[in-house]
Amino acid sequence: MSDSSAPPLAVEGLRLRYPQEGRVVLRGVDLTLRRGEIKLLLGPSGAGKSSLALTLNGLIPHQMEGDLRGRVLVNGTPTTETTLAALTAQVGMLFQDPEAQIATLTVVDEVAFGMENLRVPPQEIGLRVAAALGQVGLEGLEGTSTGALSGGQKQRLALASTLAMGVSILVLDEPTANLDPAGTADFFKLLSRLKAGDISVLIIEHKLDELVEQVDSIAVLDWDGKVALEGTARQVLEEGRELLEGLGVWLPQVSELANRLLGRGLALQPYPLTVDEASAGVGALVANFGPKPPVAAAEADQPDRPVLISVNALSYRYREGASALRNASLLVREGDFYALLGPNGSGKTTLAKHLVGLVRPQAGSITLAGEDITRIAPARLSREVAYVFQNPEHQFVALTVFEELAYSLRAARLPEAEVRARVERLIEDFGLGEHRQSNPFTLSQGQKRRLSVATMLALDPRVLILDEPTFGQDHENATRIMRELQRLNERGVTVIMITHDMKLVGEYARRVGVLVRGEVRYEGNVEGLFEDALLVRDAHLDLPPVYRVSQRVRAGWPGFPLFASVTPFVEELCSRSGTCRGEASSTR
Amino acid sequence: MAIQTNPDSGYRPQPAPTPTLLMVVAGLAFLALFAGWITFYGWLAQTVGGDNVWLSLLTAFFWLLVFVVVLVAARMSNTVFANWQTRDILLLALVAAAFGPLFVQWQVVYDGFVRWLPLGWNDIAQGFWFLPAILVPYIVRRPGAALFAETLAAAVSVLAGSPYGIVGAAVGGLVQGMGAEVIFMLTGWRRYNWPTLALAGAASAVTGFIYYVPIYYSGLDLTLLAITGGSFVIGVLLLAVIPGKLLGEALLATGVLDRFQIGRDRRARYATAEDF
Amino acid sequence: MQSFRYVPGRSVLHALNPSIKLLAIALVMIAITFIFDVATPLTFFALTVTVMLTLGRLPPRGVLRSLVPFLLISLSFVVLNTIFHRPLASETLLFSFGPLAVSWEGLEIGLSIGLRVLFLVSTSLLFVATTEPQELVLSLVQQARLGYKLAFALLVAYRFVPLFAEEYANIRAAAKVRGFGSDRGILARFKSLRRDAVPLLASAIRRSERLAIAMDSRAFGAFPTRTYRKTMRVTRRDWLFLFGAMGLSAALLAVLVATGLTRGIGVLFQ
Repeated sequence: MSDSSAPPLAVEGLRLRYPQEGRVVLRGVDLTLRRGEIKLLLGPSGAGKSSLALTLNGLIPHQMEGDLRGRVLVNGTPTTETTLAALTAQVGMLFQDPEAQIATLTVVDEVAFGMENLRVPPQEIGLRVAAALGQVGLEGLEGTSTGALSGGQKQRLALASTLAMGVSILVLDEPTANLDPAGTADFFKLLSRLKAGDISVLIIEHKLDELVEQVDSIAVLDWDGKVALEGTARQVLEEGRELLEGLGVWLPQVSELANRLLGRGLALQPYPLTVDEASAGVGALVANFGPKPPVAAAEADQPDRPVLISVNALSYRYREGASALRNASLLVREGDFYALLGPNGSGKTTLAKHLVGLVRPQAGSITLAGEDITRIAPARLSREVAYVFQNPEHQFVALTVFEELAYSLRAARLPEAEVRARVERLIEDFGLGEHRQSNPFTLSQGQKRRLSVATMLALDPRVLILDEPTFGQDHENATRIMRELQRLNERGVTVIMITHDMKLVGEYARRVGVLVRGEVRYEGNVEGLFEDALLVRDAHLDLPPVYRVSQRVRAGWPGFPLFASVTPFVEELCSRSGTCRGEASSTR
Repeated sequence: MAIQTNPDSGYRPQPAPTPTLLMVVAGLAFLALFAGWITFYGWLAQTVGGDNVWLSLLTAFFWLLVFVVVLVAARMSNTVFANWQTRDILLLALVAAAFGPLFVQWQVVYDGFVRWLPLGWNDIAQGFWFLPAILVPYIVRRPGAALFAETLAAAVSVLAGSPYGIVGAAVGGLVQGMGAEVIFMLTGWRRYNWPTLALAGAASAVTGFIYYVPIYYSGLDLTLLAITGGSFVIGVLLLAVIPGKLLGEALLATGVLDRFQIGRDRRARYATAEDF
Repeated sequence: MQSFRYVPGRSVLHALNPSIKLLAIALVMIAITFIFDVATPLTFFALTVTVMLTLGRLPPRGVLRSLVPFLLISLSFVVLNTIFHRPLASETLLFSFGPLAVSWEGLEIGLSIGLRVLFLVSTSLLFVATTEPQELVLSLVQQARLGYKLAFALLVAYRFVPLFAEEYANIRAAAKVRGFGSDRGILARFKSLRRDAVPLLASAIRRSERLAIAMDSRAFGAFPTRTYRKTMRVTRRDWLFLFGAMGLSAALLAVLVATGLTRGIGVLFQ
């Protein structure tokens, strides 16, 4: 039934409407995936990327409600003219939540799951399981419990399960969203291996820095639910840069650098997609400017502000015996923008939970403004230190946005007029005005995140702790949240964020603490961390691309400063060129 | 802006099947045999008194009845799920996973009721153990929802260490679920309003109570037996039917049930579709 | 939260076909509902524990630790049935207190039912501790002819239990940082659960919906049947166990009847 001359996937004039909401999501999508190609699908959140993915293996309309017009052809056959079983044997799907991909209890059962559903004879299943585990690098783990795997391993396991079904096309919907930088890098490496094995890939992903070198082409979905741009990575990112910025999607950081420079009248040649290209381009620019003595602009270190939180020799062991924290000591000063870093499972969250009194220290102590944290009454502690969980839904307790925001205020027995005034201000600040009466659960991802931050700010805390504040957000929303945090920080709120996103760290954090296997391996400024290559690797981190660019440039131009984020980099090049136009914008 | 009735293609869930005459008869026979059994058991216990043989035979007949119910359920498990979507099946699993361990912990509350309420009335606390048989059918609205939700939740409670064990909890859950299922079947699996849910709860309570008589309540005299049975019904109404429906409605308001039948039913009343 | 769990091992009980094991246990359990004396459930309880330790090679300390919490619960059944049994004139009154009257016969019936509870629990423990959940599901489908979608729901439910506990802890933590105090006592826990139920179930339903899509993408439910990597078989050993269990129970009962220790249902209405 499969036609070897036909492209693996062809989407022709596809329109999709969800009958549940009566909402039209896609309005005429045209897209072709060629054999052995890796195509990246970009678009703002809410543009219908995930919905499009669900039509590609026939889940819509075979299993899920959706009114379709136009066609999706898999290996030349329209999805509506074949069965779901036949489609799932050709197109494998992978989604973002590793936890929600695993259906069984052991590795071998999970790989067999898809084949069993397709009624593959038992003798054959055994052979295919071994082959599929080999393909994804999980050989030898057959008997392991699925619960014992890391997020990255779970994703590879889910991939193995689809590969064992014999698929030749993979549709991946943000497969690395929950993985730390090292896990992400491993996963992307796996993709190019699979491509070499003649598998075609359509991937939806935000992490362009790592991925852009591996993709053959990019397609961009816009707000109208149409493909606005399609072409090679270079064509799309270079020629479509204005459109992409308008859509608020994530770009490779070096492309962002190039765009910002272009806006100021400086062009990088060639237009960079990778660190190599950007380094060459910046190097050429710097060479053109000629030697320029670096201005001694190193701002004097601010005098040490008073210590706000002091963690002293904290150790913690789970009831099952695993050690989460070992003799960890950290200092957070008043007004810090502090980032807590480390691999998945290194104790970051456990440490943060100590700070809000969710976990009591087993050994060691914590002080808040000099006061032992265990002596502070829970009610007062929760007013002074606020904690925003990674999953905003966990924090919702009320039936409307307004009530949600008012909740802690009323619990603190503020007068009703004061409650109203504060809630209105938060609604205003966080752009939730239209949703005052909505149920918190029905908001979009971006709105939920903003609401969860806003609720925690209701009582004007001194310290705000956030677990992965930009998780699952598109660039537009992420920037909006981070700006809000920056503004709060400027007003004197101490911000502590747990994150894997090193670009975020480079751009916003002033001090960082790095945990590896429960031990504090580093505490200090961001630059100091980035200089320690060994530590960066041990902590499963990566360096922001612009930092790597500035390192390369320095190799050719000794004395060239190192930059952890885009803005100062642009300013430096501008000041060297002397020909820059425009103001130093505060955006991005 | 009319709703497009003829899209090019699109999954549409099958409407619930209309129960056949055989199903109606079998369902009613199940309720009647159980109710008849307890009546006869009570009468016999009073009249023949200490005759072991007759009461033992009657108990044996009861287990035979239960065995048939188990067989019917096993057979149903092969057919009713054809129209279920995977999300419905996972909801069933999820409610079982949530309530199974809670069922075990509820034992402590149940023991508390023993202290507060007079003899027999304490069994009002039983009601909570019937919640899945209301909640899941209220959301999923397909054949088998009540039966298998209650069975699965009870089976998980066995895994979590229920003091009632396999026969007391797991098979008990099956019998309770069957009681509610019969009522939902009589409405063609189409009505989920207060009266239907209350009736389903009551049927579930009665069958569940009768099932427990030979296992746990055979020590009680007849007046107490009647009070206990009544407490089961009151308890199920208070602790399963009302909270079950309210919980379902609260979940519906969060939007997470939009793709379940309960969500579709609501939309059928309000939907307006964008042109396409 | 989970007081019973599968204990991996290579004993006779572990090797049995789960459906047959289940049937054997259920039959013995049902037999006991006909009996209202103290000796029979006590004997059967001792037998179950012995089988667990020998044929199941379960660690004695683990078995003890799993059973201890149920002593209390079974005691409450003793009290319940003793008090609720209204003594007849012919019975030996032990003591009476206001409307409360406890007879020797009533106490015996209460003890019998309490021990019966303990016996039922021990058989559940025997089953859960020696049965691998995946194998149980496979066997329920292959031998007991259960529909595979229902069997699968059981497996997923089993997998969800610890995830739920985790998620619940998260939600409690979130509530706590918003200034809700911690709840002490089980009734307070059930009260706070009423508040947490909606967020807990809502986020669990969202997650299960994602899992449903992932499963559909791998053809779950595409055919009315599916194949299985592993085939569960019923061997001679399984039949031997089934008939052995029934034979042993019958023999035990016979001995107990012969020695006059066994009393049937009729004792209730004498």
